[in-house]
Amino acid sequence: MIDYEKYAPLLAKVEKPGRYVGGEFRSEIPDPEKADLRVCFCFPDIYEIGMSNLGVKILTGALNQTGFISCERCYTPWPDMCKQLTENGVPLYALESGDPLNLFDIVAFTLQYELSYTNVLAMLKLARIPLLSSERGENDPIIIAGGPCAYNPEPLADFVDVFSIGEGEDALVELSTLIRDCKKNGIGREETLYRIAQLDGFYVPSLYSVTYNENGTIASFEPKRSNVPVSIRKRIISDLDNVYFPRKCSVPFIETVHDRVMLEVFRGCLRGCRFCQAGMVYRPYREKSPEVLNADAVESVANSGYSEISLTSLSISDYTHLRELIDKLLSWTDDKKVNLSLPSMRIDNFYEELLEKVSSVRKSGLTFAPEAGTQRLRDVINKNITEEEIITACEKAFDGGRNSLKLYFMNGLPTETDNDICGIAGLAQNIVDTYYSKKRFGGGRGVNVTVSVSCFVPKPFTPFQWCAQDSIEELERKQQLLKSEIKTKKISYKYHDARVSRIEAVFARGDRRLGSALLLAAERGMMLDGWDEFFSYEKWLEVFSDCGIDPAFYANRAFETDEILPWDFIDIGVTKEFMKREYAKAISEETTPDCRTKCSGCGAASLCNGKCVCNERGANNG
Amino acid sequence: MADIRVYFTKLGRLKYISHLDLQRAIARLLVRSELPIAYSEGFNPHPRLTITQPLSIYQEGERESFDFRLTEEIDSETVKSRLSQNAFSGMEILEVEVIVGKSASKSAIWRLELKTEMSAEEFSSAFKGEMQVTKRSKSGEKLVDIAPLVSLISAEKTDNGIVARIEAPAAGNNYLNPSYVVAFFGDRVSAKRVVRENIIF
Ligand code: SF4
Repeated sequence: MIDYEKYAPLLAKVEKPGRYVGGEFRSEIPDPEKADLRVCFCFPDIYEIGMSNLGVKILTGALNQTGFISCERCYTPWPDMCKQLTENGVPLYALESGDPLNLFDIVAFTLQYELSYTNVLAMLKLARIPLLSSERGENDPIIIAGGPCAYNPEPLADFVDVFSIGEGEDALVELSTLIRDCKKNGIGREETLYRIAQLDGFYVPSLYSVTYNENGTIASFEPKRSNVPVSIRKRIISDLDNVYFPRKCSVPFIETVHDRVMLEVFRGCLRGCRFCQAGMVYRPYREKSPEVLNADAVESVANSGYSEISLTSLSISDYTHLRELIDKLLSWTDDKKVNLSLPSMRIDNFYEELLEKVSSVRKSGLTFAPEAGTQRLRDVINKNITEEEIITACEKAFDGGRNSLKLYFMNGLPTETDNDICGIAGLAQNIVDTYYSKKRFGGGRGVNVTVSVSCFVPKPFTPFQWCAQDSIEELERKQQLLKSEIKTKKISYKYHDARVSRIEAVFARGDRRLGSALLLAAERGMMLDGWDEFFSYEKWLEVFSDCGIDPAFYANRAFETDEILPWDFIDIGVTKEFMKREYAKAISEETTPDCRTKCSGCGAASLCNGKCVCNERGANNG
Repeated sequence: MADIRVYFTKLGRLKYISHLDLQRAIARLLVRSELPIAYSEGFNPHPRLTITQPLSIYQEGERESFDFRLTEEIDSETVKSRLSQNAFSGMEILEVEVIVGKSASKSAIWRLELKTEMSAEEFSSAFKGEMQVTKRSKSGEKLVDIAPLVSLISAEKTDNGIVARIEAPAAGNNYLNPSYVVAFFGDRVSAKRVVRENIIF
């Protein structure tokens, strides 16, 4: 039990002390004193965000049910708490036991977005764990990291001892078992790491050496020792129905971002949007059965008292058993006063029927993500949605009494011209015109179309991984161009800060030389870069220049298709050949069908014995 | 249909939880208990629930209460055990009773565990004179004499301070947060614990 009284003087001086005391309902863990191995699972952002992450709930739950692990949690403290910890000489502690992180065997981080890297370092620093792997000794925890950003682990190579590549449920238990055995047998840190490197799906950066060409690109990337694999294949869970799912999650007191029961309906995505990393790295598409999902929901609600369930997956309309699942859920949720919230879905007849039939389905805002303003550019990015489909869906929604919707776009996409930018305004205008094309019920309210535009960030393991990001000046010029093209107050226009996207691009496509920049940023106290109030572009530019790093080399350079990419040694199943094919098709404005319509032989089938689960006909094609 | 009052504790780590967060947590507790509870009307129905007296963050309560409504008759023992099974740490369900006609809370008994070098006499004598404190409200700051509102029940010297028990109005215009009493003594005292022992109806 946490001895929170010793933290009382600190907690008395912070804005939201509830973030730092744990004790939530169902947050009990196996007794740390009796466990063979102690793990602290860290989410490098604040409590409200970290507590909303389903992946963390799954992994901490999976570790805590092994019988030999006691796994706790920790989140990035807000600056007021950082100050209290530092000034009082108190190291960052885990929420359940209140013990400092440096007492644990393993400290794990999940990497959800590039801008959280500084939080990883800030947390290590607050915990008084040496930042550099090379400076950690026998008594320091082993620092591991996983999650979507671990597909390009290189920017954090100096700081993280072990990266877990792919889905972690089984992998982390295997890793923990190995670390426990090494610990029992008195095997030292170096040898332990060497053994971990030989497990499937783990990358130990210190066991690889990199050399560079004169132009700065990578000349070689090689293991330093025998038996260390040249390439690391991601792990996947093939049977989602039989993998651990946390039906007893802790229920936070503080309101979190997603404060509800979350159901993961499937993993992966059938569509192949060419800018989207999630769509590629989570291949192949794997579904959970409606029976299991319904049982997950029933128990989760009973155990938590939550009054809302949300389905969390990409492109939910692709789920084969959507109707069946929703019928099953609706058979009891109404009675229990539980709301069902659906993520943005395809607006089709089924959806309309659903909205009419049940009041308990929360009408989450109507959203579309055309991503690009013209059909030409939508073909380039392989976003298979036509203007006609959007207009028809809006028509239906307007007929149903709705009068507002949100559209998501990206600017700076490869091959984009001013014409494509103007197309965004044109599409939004057409939607407004559709609304006024006939007399609408409650017409006095008018229509509101929100256009939200982010900046394209080239991501590893996408067909656009080689593309340069537009310069800040160009992105900002396009943002202003679009602003001037919008002629009505019925359209509200929001756009992202291009400078944030540029820093994201640097780290997304970065290599291990960026370690010096992260280290310097940590020394300068930079953290919470995902928060507008703390992000400082100027400080980042200073850091880069002080380290002799040219951010444009990573963000604004078109990588050669034959150069060694920093993440080439990671094998996600989808081949580089496929990426090249898709890139070429993008340039020639050709689309690729979704996996259910036709298998495109991306290679992911090799992860499931050559027979891709998302397309039976895809056998041996990958 | 019956109105139920539940007496409970808000102790330990729960002192770091705000009133609104506690309210949400109790609503979830009611849902988990699977009791036939009355819901509010409207599109997003939620359990009808009133916490008798809000408690500020950093304050604890030894006998707090909340009211809710049952739509079917269930004996209080069953209600108590269902709630207890689903309660969170720091909350103990003390008593469950059916209430007929709601009575407003009149005053509250507070225990202030203070760190101070003052003697009990010195501390007590302050309550005999005026106790000017700055009260902040929407209309700005003003000086108020809180002495007429509080009565000191006892003050005992402990190892490194004083444990004082006071009675103060619990509701209405005269509601007095005991933090003003602590504030009155300025840096001569610091509060280790502020505990509401009981609410008097
Ligand atoms: S192997 Fe074929 S069906 Fe499977 S993910 Fe790749 S393209 Fe899609």
